[in-house]
Amino acid sequence: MDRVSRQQRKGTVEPAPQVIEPSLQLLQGILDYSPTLIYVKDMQGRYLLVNRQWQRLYSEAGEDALSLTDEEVFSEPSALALRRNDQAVIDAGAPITFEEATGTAGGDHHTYISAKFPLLDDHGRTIGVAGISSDITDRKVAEEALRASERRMSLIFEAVSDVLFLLAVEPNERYRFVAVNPAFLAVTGLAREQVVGKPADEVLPPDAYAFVLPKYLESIRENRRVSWEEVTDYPTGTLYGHVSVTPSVDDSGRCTHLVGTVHDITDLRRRELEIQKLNVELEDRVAERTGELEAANKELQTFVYSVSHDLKAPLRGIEGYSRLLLDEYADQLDETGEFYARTTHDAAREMSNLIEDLLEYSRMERGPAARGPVELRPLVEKLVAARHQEIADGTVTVTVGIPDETLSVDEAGLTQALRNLIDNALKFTRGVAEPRIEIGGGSTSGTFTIWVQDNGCGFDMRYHDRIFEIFQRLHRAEDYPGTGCGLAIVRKAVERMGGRVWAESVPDQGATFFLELRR
Amino acid sequence: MTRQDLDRPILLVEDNPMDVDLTRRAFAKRHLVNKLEVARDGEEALAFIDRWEAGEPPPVVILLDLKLPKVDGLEVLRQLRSHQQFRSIPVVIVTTSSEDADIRAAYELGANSYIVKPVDFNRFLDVAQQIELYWSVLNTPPK
Repeated sequence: MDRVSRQQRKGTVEPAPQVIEPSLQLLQGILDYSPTLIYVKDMQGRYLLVNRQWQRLYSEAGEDALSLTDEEVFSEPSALALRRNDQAVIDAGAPITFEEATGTAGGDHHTYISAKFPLLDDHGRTIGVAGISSDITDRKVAEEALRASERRMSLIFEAVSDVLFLLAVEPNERYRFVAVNPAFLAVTGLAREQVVGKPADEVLPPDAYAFVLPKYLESIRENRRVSWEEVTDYPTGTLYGHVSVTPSVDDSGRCTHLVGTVHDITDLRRRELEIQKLNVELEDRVAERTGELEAANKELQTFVYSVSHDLKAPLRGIEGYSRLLLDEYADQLDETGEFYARTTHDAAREMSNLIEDLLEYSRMERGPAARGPVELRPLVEKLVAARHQEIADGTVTVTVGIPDETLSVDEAGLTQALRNLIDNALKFTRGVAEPRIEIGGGSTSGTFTIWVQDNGCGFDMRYHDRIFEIFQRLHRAEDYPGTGCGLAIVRKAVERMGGRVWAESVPDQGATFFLELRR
Repeated sequence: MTRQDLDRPILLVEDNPMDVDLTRRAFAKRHLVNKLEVARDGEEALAFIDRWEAGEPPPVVILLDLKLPKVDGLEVLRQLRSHQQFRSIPVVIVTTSSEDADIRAAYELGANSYIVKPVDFNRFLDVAQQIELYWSVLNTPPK
């Protein structure tokens, strides 16, 4: 309805006298159905009139509310406050609006916005106070909850040790600091008034601003949290930060704010860098030590090698001349003299074997193993064939049960190892009634195992490891001659191609030697 | 195969006097005909080249040890193989070393054979005999 038609209606519609009657009814209706409290009190504070809502809330059942006073309805402090307000209206002689918190003795608490005005008689004297009170209890509770929530949020905001900031998103890709927490100020060394209310480009250094701008845009455009790590030099020191911004979107979907966090990872980074540095140092030290060890090892191997060689020269003399003595002067030697010469000669031969084994062992120790395909069965058969004389002499039953298998191994090393194991088996079955040697093999998923089993004298399992050590012998040389290098060479040969060896035995029943190789 | 080859010497380059003696005895025991000349180190071995240049008959074969004082065996071999006139004299390495590296190096420098000295004197006798049989009887060396 516009102004003109209102004017027109004013001009045309005359108020009819008879509307007064329905007006009283209307007023009664308003009184009865208003959700607000409507009441009139006399100068003594006695209720002269209360509406139905007032009665509903504050009258006992069947009680007549009229002539009650606030003291009889409300708790003492509430009644006192109400009376003070009423008096203020009377004193002012004009309407006043109050916020009134009331409580009954029964504990019914409400908060009202009360418009109170003085009630005048025909002579203009104040005869009472009338009031209209709207219940704002729910609103007050909600407001209080909100305030409490805000207080809590603010407490968190203040207490968090991470940097927090709130940016208002403004037109033309501009951002303004709305709030920052104490951690922000502590890290940046800025005062609150240097930050809050200022545009981001005034607060942040230009390069830092240029760096974060695309991140802000990305977060807004994709409406998601965007995070990154950055290193910033602040007056308080260099900060390694894990930074994030999270968009805050209004009901229309527009991003109004960005919530930023910076988690200080300086200590973490420093520690990481320190660990990296320590690792590098450690690696250097390990490399250095390894180098030293390798050098020492090489030196030792060279030493063993050259000693072995140099020992051979005088040995050739001992062997050669004792042989010449035995050959050319046999007729001039008595039995004892010949025994001396022969023992000297035999000892030289034994030492020669020892040196040969030592050289073989030393060769196994040096350098990595060569790798190539080796057909296992033909190799074993060849090795057995090479010992046919010894096998025939000892009437040994040799069975070979090796499946067709081609392994990628060091052929020379494997040949040496198997030869030594076969020789070993032949040696330790000497003197057994029906000597038997069984050479077998089988595979698992990643390995191939070869075993050489004999029914010879065996060994005590207490020594199952020692037998693979160099110069370790479990038997007297006169019973089973040998240098004590054979099994050490087996182990060295197998280990350098990544395999392992072990043995099982029952004394006087035999021994089984296993070679496990990678397939 | 000529009588003349048996007249030419065999040069033994060996520093160990015991080995020299045993070699002599081995040659004697197997009744080898060739005269055995001895150089006691690498320098002496190289000095022989001058003597051949001066007209002495070059050896039918050189038995060369590798580990030698002053100039080692491989260096002697290298210098001999680069000599215009005497580069083709057969050289048999007779040494204690059975190292792959030594064997390869010797052959690469032009050794004709490589023998690891046996400790066993009887085997050494066989070696001595076979050396003469092969290099001075069966083999025809260059003049």
